[in-house]
Amino acid sequence: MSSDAITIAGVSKRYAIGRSLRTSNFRESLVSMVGAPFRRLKRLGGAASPDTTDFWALNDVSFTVGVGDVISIVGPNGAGKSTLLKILSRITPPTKGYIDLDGRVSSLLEVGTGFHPELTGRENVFLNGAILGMLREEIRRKFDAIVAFAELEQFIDTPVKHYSSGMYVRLAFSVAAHLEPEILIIDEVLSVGDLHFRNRCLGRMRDMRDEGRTVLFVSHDLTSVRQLCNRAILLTSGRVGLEGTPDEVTRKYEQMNRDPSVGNAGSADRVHPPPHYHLRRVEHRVRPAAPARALGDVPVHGGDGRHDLCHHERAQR
Amino acid sequence: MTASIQRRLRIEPAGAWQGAHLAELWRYRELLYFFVWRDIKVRYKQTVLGAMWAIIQPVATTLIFTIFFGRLGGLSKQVNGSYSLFVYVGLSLWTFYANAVSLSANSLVGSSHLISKVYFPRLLIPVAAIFSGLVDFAISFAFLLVLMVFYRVPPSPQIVAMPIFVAGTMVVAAGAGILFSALVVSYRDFRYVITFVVQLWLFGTPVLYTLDSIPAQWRLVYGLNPMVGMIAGFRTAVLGGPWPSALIAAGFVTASILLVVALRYFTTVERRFADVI
Repeated sequence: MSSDAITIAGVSKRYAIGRSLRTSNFRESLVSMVGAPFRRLKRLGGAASPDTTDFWALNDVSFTVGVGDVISIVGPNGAGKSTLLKILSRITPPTKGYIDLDGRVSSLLEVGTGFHPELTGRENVFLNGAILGMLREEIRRKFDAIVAFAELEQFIDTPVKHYSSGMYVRLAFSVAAHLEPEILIIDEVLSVGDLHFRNRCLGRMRDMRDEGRTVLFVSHDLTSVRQLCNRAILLTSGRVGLEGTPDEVTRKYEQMNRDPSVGNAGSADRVHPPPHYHLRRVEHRVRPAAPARALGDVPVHGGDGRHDLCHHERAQR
Repeated sequence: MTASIQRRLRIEPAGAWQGAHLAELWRYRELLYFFVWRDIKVRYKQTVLGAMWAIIQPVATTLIFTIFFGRLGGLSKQVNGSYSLFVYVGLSLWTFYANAVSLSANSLVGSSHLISKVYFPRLLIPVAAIFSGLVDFAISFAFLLVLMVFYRVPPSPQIVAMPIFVAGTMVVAAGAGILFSALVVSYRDFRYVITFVVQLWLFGTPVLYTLDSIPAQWRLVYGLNPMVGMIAGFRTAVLGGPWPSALIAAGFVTASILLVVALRYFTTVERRFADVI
C-alpha cells in the first residue's frame, strides 16, 4: 500500500449543455419541453444527441496527495475546482477516471449544511454533526467543546432563525472544527465571516496540519495558501496547469491574472460560466458581470463574484 | 468521525457501483434517525394546535365522507354498525399512507441543498419521510381507540396482527415514495401527478366501501393494488371478522415487487441527482 492519501487518476467530468439555452420563443420551448424526456431516454440509450454540446469541466486530471500533505487548489472561476471537490466528496461521479481515498474523509463544501432554522442551536449541532458523519455518542462527548468554541453558551437553546448571521456561522464552523478526519476536503469556507472568524478558521486548519491530517482545500486567498500548504495545484480550464510549491503556483497564478494570455487564463470560463453554477445560472439569469471583474484583480478574499452568485442562489430558494 | 465512512474508497464513474448498499445504509442508520427526528420536531413548530392536526385531518375527512358517501351516496347501508367508525379506521391508515407518499416523493427536491453539498446514501431522505409520519399515525390510532369506546365496539383479539398491516403500508409507501422522489428530481411534472394519483388511489382502495361491493370477477385485478390488502387487513384486525386472506397475500407480494422496482430505479439514477436537481 502506498503512502498516498488521495490518488486522482485521469479524472474527467462532462456536463451536457442542453439546447434549451438557445430556445427563444414559447412554441420552441414548449416543443423542447415535451421532447425533453424522449431526448433524455435516447441519450440514456447511448445514442448521441445532436442538440446538446459537451462541456468538459475537468479534463484528464491526475495527481496524488501524500499522507499529511496540505495541498491547495487555485485557479480562476470555471477552472473545475468545485467540480473536483464534488467528485472527491462523492456528490457527483466522474465521467472518466477514478479516485482512491485512503482514510476517513470529511468534506466541507459549506458550513452549516442541513441547519434547520426552526431547530435550536443544540438540536442543530446534533443534526449537522450527524450529516457530517459524526456518531451521536461522539457529538454528545464533544458538545460542550463545540458550544464553547462558538461562544454561544447563552443562546444554545434558541432557534437558530433568531441568530445573527455571525452567530449562525460560528456555530456551524464550530461543529465542523470538531471533526477528526484523516483527510479533510474544504471549499472556500475560509472566505465567509469576519476577520476574527477567518483567523480562527486558519488557526484550526493549522492545527489539522500539525496533527498530521491530510488537507485538500480550494482557496482564492493566496496568502493563506502560502502559509498553510506544502504543495499547490493550479487548475485552468479543467486541467492541471501547474503542480508545485505554493510559491511557484501562486506566482504563476498571479502572473496569469495580470496577463490573461499566459497559460490561457481560464479561457473556458470566459466562454462558459462555471459548470457548477451553470444550470442555475441559466434558470435564474444571474447577472453576467462577475467574470469580467475576476480578470483584473488578484482575488484575495474569494472576491471574484462567486459570493454574489451564492447569495443570489440562496435568495432564489 | 467515524465509522460512517469506510477507510478505503474508490470513486468511479456512474454505473460502476451497483445495488443498494445495505452495509452502507446500516453505517448511516444514525443519520436516518436524525432525519426522522428533525422532521418530527419541525412538523408542528409554530402551530397552535400542534399534534391535534394528526387527529383533525382524518376526523374532518371522515365527517365529509360520511355525509357525502355514507348518507347521500348510500354507502352506509353496506356497513353493519357505524359507517363513520368504518371509514375512520380505513382513513387513519390511509392518511398515514397518503401523507407518507407525498412527503417522501417531494423529499429529495426539498433537500437539494444537502444533496449538492454532502454525501450520504440518498435513500435515507425518502425513507426518513415515511418513518416521520408514524407519530401522527400513533396519535390518530389512539383516537380510534377512543372512538371505539364511544361506539361501544370492543376491539377484536385479532388486533395483535395490526402492526403487520402498518408495516405493509410502510412498504407500499416506501415503494411509491422512493420511485416518485427519484422521478421528481428529473421531472418536476411528477409532483402534480402524485397529488392526482394519491387522490384516485383512495377510490381504488376499500376505505369508503366494503370489499363486497367489488364484483367477484374483478377481485383479482383489484387485489393488484397493494393498499387493498393493507386497508382490508387493518380493518379486519381492528374491527374483527373473517380475514380477506387472498387479498392480503396479494398485497404483500405486489408491495414487495413495487419496492424492489423502486429501489432498482433509485440506485441507477441516484448518482446523477446532484447534477440534475
